[in-house]
This record gives sequence, structure tokens and C-alpha cells, in this order.
Amino acid sequence: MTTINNEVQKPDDATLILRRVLNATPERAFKAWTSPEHIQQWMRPEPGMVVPLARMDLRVGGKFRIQMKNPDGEYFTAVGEFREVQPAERLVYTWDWEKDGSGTEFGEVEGKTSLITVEFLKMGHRTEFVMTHTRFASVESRDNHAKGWATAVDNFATFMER
Amino acid sequence: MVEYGSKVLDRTFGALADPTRRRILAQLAEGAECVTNLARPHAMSLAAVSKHLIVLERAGLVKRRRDGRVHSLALAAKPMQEAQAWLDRYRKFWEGNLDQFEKYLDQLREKESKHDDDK
Repeated sequence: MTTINNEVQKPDDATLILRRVLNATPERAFKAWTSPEHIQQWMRPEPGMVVPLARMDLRVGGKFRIQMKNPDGEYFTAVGEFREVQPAERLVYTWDWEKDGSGTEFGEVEGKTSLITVEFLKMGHRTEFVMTHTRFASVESRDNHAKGWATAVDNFATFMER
Repeated sequence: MVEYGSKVLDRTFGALADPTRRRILAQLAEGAECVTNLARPHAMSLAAVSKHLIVLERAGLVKRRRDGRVHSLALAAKPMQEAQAWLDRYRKFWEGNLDQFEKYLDQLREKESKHDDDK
């Protein structure tokens, strides 16, 4: 039974890793990523979406709230808390969705909290941007997770489709 | 209906982190099997394979059916689908956002170079 307990104590997470090379310095990219007035310009996961409100209290323990609205008038409001803030280099924050999201103040969240790490790595005049979005909101689980996990899921999913 | 909270997902991901268990799942994807048949391709004892099966069962990835003394095992793909759905949703969300973010940074740069030309 000991073996099994050990297995359960070192879980892997669902982890999404995205990389982009940005045509901007880390300073500029970081500012555009974190300033409400910039976020309102670029935050658009789907065409036709708008960001009526964006709030960022950019400091460790500070909170953010980004309210997105689709053309049908549905709200998708993301909220979270900053865990690490290193200007022009690195950000770590939690991510959750509000149940309703249509208000102007912080509302009740779904509670399916995840954790995001974004890194801005200088490459001459450009920036390598690396985003890691992890299913669970604990730093422990983020540090424990094996990056091979996503591959395992993909492989398995492919297998299931055969 | 099972609520897929963090603990369940922890177990799913823990269960999938092992190559033997992934192979067992692959075998089960071909159809239900008894423990003896499952153990055959693996270079390990029946007891060791049984331990792996318990981990998979606890994660809800495998369902066991007792037919007298024979235990037959079948794949239960639900927890896996849950994790896959999470990844797919966020991949779509962030890729859409990052496309816009890149475009926006380009716009900022153009504005600034025009501004410089005006000086």
C-alpha cells in the first residue's frame, strides 16, 4: 500500500505551455500585458469580444479583474491574484472565472482556480514569451509537475480515437 | 454523477505519470481484460501489475468487474476527457488572445515610428 500512497502524493497537473516570439522589448511587452488600458485593446480570445472593464493591482497579493463580453452580450470575467511580480521578466498569478461576471465589482467565483506563469525573455530587440497555465493553483503542484504530462494526455487521446 | 474536484484530477494525473500504467490503459482501450492477460506483456509479477491496477482504479480510469474468481477490467475514459477538455479550452482561449497581443504590439511599434518621423 505504501507504493500507492506515494503515487498519490506526487500528482502531475494538466499544463498548457505556449511560446511566442514578440516583436517588442520585454519592457514594452510586459507593460502591454499588465496595463488595463492596453489589455482593453488586445484582450480578445474570439472576434467581436470587448473588454468593458479591466483592473490590475500589479503587486504581490494585488488582485486583477478582466471583464470580457461577447457579441451576444454574455460576460466572461476573469479574476485572480498576483503571486510574483518581476517587471519586464516574470509574473505569476492565479486565474478563476466569476459565476456571473456582469457587475462592475468583484463577484463570486467558480472556484476552479488555476495558476499562470508568464515569462518575458530578452532576445535582442525581441522577446520570447512563455506562458504556463496549470490546472491547480498551488506553487507546489506547479513545481512538481512533469512537463511530459501533456504529451501523455495527447498520446492517450490519440490512442482512444483509433 | 461524480464531481471532478481537484483530488480526483490529482489521482488521474498521478496515475498517468507511469509508463506501465499508460501501457495497461492502451491494452484496455482494445477491450476488457482479466488481470492475468493484462500482466502477460509486462516484465513484472502479477502482484506488481495488480498494484498498478489499483492506482488506475482509484483514479477512476479503470472499472473492475468480479465474475466469481475472475476479475475483468475495463477502461473508463471520463476522467481523461475532463483533463483534455480543460487543456483544449484554454489552448483556444490563449492562442486567440496571443494573436491579438502580437498584432497590438506591432500597432504600437508602427505608431511610435510614425511619431518619430513627425519630429
